[in-house]
Order: sequence, then structure tokens, then C-alpha cells
Amino acid sequence: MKKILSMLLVLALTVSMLAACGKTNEPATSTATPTQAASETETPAASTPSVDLKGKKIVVARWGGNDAETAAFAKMLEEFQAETGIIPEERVYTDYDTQLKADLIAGQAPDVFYVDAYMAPFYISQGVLQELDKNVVQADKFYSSLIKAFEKDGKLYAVSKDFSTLALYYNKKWVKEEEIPATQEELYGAEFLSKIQARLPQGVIALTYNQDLARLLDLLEIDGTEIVKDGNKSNLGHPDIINNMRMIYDAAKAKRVMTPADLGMGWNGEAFGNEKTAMMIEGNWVYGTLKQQFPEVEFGIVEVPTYKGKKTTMVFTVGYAIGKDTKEPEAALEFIKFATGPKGMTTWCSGAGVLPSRSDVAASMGVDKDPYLIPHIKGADYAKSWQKGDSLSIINKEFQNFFNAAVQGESTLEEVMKAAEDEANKQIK
Amino acid sequence: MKKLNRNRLMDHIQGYSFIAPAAVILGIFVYISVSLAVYMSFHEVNLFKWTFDFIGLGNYKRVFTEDRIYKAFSNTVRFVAVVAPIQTILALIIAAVLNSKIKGQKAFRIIYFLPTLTSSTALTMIFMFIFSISGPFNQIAHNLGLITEMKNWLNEPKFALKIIMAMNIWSTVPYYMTIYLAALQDVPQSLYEAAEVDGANAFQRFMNVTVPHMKPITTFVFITGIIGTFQMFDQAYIFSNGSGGPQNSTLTVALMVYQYAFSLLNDMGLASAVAIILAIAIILASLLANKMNKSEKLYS
Repeated sequence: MKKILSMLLVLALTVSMLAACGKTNEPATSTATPTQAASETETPAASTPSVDLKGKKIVVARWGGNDAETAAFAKMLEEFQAETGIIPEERVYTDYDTQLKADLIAGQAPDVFYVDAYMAPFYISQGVLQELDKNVVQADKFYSSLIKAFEKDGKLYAVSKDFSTLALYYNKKWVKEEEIPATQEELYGAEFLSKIQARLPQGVIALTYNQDLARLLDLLEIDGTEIVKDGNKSNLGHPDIINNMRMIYDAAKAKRVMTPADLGMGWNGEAFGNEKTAMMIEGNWVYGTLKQQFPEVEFGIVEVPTYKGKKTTMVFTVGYAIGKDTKEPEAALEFIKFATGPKGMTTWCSGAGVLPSRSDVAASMGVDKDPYLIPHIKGADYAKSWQKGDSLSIINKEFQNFFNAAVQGESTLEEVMKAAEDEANKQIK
Repeated sequence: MKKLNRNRLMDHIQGYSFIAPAAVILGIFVYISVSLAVYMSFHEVNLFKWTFDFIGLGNYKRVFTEDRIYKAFSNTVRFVAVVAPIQTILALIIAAVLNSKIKGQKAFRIIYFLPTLTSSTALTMIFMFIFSISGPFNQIAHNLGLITEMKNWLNEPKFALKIIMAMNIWSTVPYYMTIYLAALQDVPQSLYEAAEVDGANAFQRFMNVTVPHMKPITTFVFITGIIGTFQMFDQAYIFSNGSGGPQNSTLTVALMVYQYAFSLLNDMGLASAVAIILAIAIILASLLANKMNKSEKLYS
């Protein structure tokens, strides 16, 4: 009797396991026939009448931010739910693009998700984003460069939710605003930096820099030579690019400037907040961090000085996109309309301390009059967008991989830039 | 007669139903996955579009011709060649010392075993701090006059992989030490006494009694070590933030497979091919190690 009972138990267990496995196997088999899967998802979307969306559920994916961002996002979701009756559910990825890609491939993608401008060409080329109607999302109300960042062949695939530009932050304890040079040539030059360095205690550097093309692209391309050639190949070995790299390279080699890692810090904001550096060039996302975590640090913000006589800085933007396979395209679109509309964007931007992508919201929020944000807002006029084809992250990865060898003096700048170019081009298809 | 048959049938059913859960899980997560990897290694794969274009040995050709892949394999082989023997020898020595009747033996065992219990992620962060510019290594070396200026050792291609080697040895030795310690309990005390009577000193006793007796364990430890080090991923990933830098010096095969499969490179076919070559390399290395240590028998 006992034996039969135990056998029954085992059998039940096996059957339930098999059943569970059968279930998880289903999406895999259906994705095996893409045409069929595609037509299955398309038909209901096309035929669904525009019914009441109340009670529909959508998943919105984003990456984790600081406390202010998390609170602002939660507040925006609440407002969205109150206004539309659609129930949004938040999904936070830690390793954003890796996890998002896995979910997209597995057919488990969120309905709406963040897409960084520099990743947009990749996702668009893989055909995983749904095209958006420019009139529906009021594309004409946005700064045009932020719309362009998510366009391909005139079609829009994501809507910018905010933007950031780089500006120069200085610690008032050590640096006076009027002595900051007007040009980057002087800023990175020996004369100015050693003057500042002389006032600093040991272990503090005058200025930090980053071995990251996302911070350097505008300088490298100032002559009009692009860091990408033949569509998506790296062009870092081009003489113009190397020449434009030389200013920061010289300063880094002479140890006039250091990376946050050289100082034992995670990023510029941490180094600046802990008073390990007197100046940094950083995006407006650092503003909230400094105010909250390092309230004792007194700092000022100015526009990034000119380079080769031109005003220049970098602009970063992130947009909301709808997954191609979403089951709730209408509810998802409602979310994008709300989050990038005047009300949602005001809630998000004022809470998170970021800059609104719409000029009408910028005006109504009055951010264009905030003395701290003015240098960042002004930057939007002449900034270069961090975006360039679908291979930018490979080009940047190899740059980061090799650049330090030049700073260490093991190879020349020319050798390093050429090596970074060759390495990247071997990987780019 | 009839009853017996029925009983045997029941026995069979019972047996299979006990095996079933493990068989199903292994089937899905190991055998199907491995077959799929073999299949994909002969194709150009785009998982977003779910396209598989047959390219024959194209991916394998790339494995043997691309510098970057060569670099990853050479890094990994160097890593294995240094870490696997050292961790085996160190583990044996420490175990032998702890097995002799020194005072505070238990406390030492616990102290030595602790690193193994810590997650390798946390260990990597600690080592990165130790060797960072403001870390203790710089300060001690500076105070001792060994270096003239503070350096960020993590950014030095010459040192990056060595730091990971040190970390890996340090964190895996205690685990293997425990295995040796357990085995040492089986060595007959009389052998040591006989050796002592014959006039063997401590070192001779270790070399002629302990080491030969530990041979089967050494084979096991060495082969597990080889497999583990060939597959090293987490430490290199955290150390270089996934890039394998500086200058590809911490690019291991497993990290490269990850980059090709899940990073922007989006090349699952090549990743599968590299993974299969890695698997073959591990099998060959293990066979070789087994051969060198001459079987699992105590006395040949």
C-alpha cells in the first residue's frame, strides 16, 4: 500500500513537471515559425476596435535610477493610471540592454521600454520597435535633434522623455568662476591646471576626464571628420580624430587630469562630491546627486568651454519605445502619449531633475530660468548627440580597451587609436 | 508467477518515475541546449529575426583566424597553466600542515575556509579596492619603497590578469584543501610511524607517504581546477566591466562567448562555435592531466 502511494506521488510529480515544461516550451516553438507568430500577433492588433482601455495592463521597463527618479517615475505612473484607467506595471532591469534583448528574443518583452539614443539604431535595425505616428505623439513640439535621434528613413520609433547635456562643474572652494578659461585648449593646458593644482591638498586633482567616447565625440568630430566610416566601421585612426584627441591625451599623460578610477572613485560625481577633484565635466544628472548626497559641497556650473573656437558639448537622450510584439499596442501608445505629453513630462522632469525634451514644457516649467540649469539648457543648441550607427558601442568598447596604454606611455597615441580602430572593425559585421 | 511479473513491472515504473524529473530537466537544460549550440555553430544566427543561415564551417574558421579570439584563448591557457597547478599544490601543502597536530588546528581550518564561502563578486570588488590607486597595496608598496609612484594596477595590462590569478588561487585553495583534509584522514598512521622509524624527516614523509597516497585526490582536484579555470568568467567580467580590458588582457574565452552571444555583437553562431572549441579544449586538457598523473590507482 505504502509503495503504491509513493509511486502515485512520484507519478503526479512527474506529470506536473512535464506539464510545466510543456508550457514553457510553447513560446519557443511558436517563435520557430516567425511568419506565423507575426501574423498571429498582428491580426488582433489590427482588428481590435478602439475600445475602452480601462483595466488593461501594460509593463513599462526602465533602468534603476536614484531615489528622486524612482519617486518621480512612481508618481507619473500613478497619474497615468488615474487619468486613463490603464494599469501600468514597472519592470526594472539592472543590466539593461542585455536583459531587454533577452526578453525581446524570448517574446517576453515589456510593452513600453526605455531606449537610449545610442542603442536606437541597433533596435530599429533588428525590427523590434513599433513605428509611431508623429502626429499622435506631437513630434513637432520636441527639440528637433531629440526626434531625429529615434528616426530611421523618416519613420519615428521612440519618443524622447528627457535629455541631458554636459557642463563644467567647479568647486567654489578652490576655483572662481571668472578664472575658468573660455577655451578647452586653455582648460586642459599646463598653465591653468597647475595654477589650480597648486592650491589643492594632496590627493585632489584639478580636473577629471573620462576615457569614454560618449564624453569625447563632440571634440573628436569638431573638424567634421566622423568617427565612423563606410556605414558602421570605426575611424578612430584618422589623423583628424587623433589630432583632436591629443589635447586631453597630453593632459592625461602629464597627469594634469585623471579619470575617476585613477582617484579610486566610481564616477565623476562621486569624485567631485568627495572633493577629490576641483572640476569635472558632467551631465545634469549629477546635479541631484550633489544636492542630496553632498550638500556641503558648494559648486557652480558653467557651459563647457569652446574647442577650436566652437561651442561644443554632448547631448544624451532616452526615449520610450513600444515593442513590436506587444499585446496592448493602444494602451502602450496611451502611456507614451501621457509620459511624453506636457503633464507626464512635467511630473517626471521636475521630480527627477532632468531637462524636458519639449520646448513648451521647458517654458511652462521655467527650467530655462533656473541659473543652475541654464548652462545645460544652452548646451542643447549646439550639442552633439551620442549616436552613430549600430556599432558605436563596439567602437567605444575598443577605445576604452586601448586608450589607457597611450596614457601609460606604453604605446603612442597613433598606435593606440589605430589598434582600437582595427580591433573594432574585426568585430563589426 | 503472474504476481511476480506484475511486481517487476511496478518496479520498472517506479524506477523510471524516479529518474524522470532529473532526466527531463537535464534533457531540456543540458542536452537540448548543447545540441542547439552545435546546430547554431554552423549557422549565422540572428535571434531577433530568428534567422539561421547555414555557413558550414565559417564560424570555426573565424575561431582559428581572428586575433581577438586567439588572444582570449592564450589568456585563458595562461590562466589555467598558472592557477590550476598552484592551487593544487598549495591546497595539498596547507592541508598537510593543518593535518599535523599543530595547535589551533580547528581555528585555522575555519579561517582558511572562509574565503570560499564569500561570493566571488564580493571578492573581486575587494581585490579591485586593494589594487586601486588609493588601495592598501599601493600604500604598503610605497611605504616599503618598492614603487616610486602610486599606480592604478587594475589599468595595467601587464598586471590585470595576474591580479585575477592571485584572487582565484586565494579563493579556491581552501575548497580543495578541505577535500585533501578529508582524504588525509584515511592515510594509515602506521605508515608515518614506519617512515619515522626508518629515519625519514618531515619533508621526506610528506613526499613519500602523503603525496603518493593523495594521488587519486590530486587527479580530481587538478581536473576540477582545470575545468573551473578554463571557464573563468565572473571575475574577469566584474574586473573589466564586461569589456575584457585593459587591452584585452583580461579577456577570457568565457567572457568572449558572453560578449558575442549577449553583448551588442549579436553573433550567437560564433559564440556557439567558440564554446564548443572550449569544451573540446577542456576535455583534452583533462585527459592529458589524468594521463600525466597516471590513473586513479594508488599503486601501479
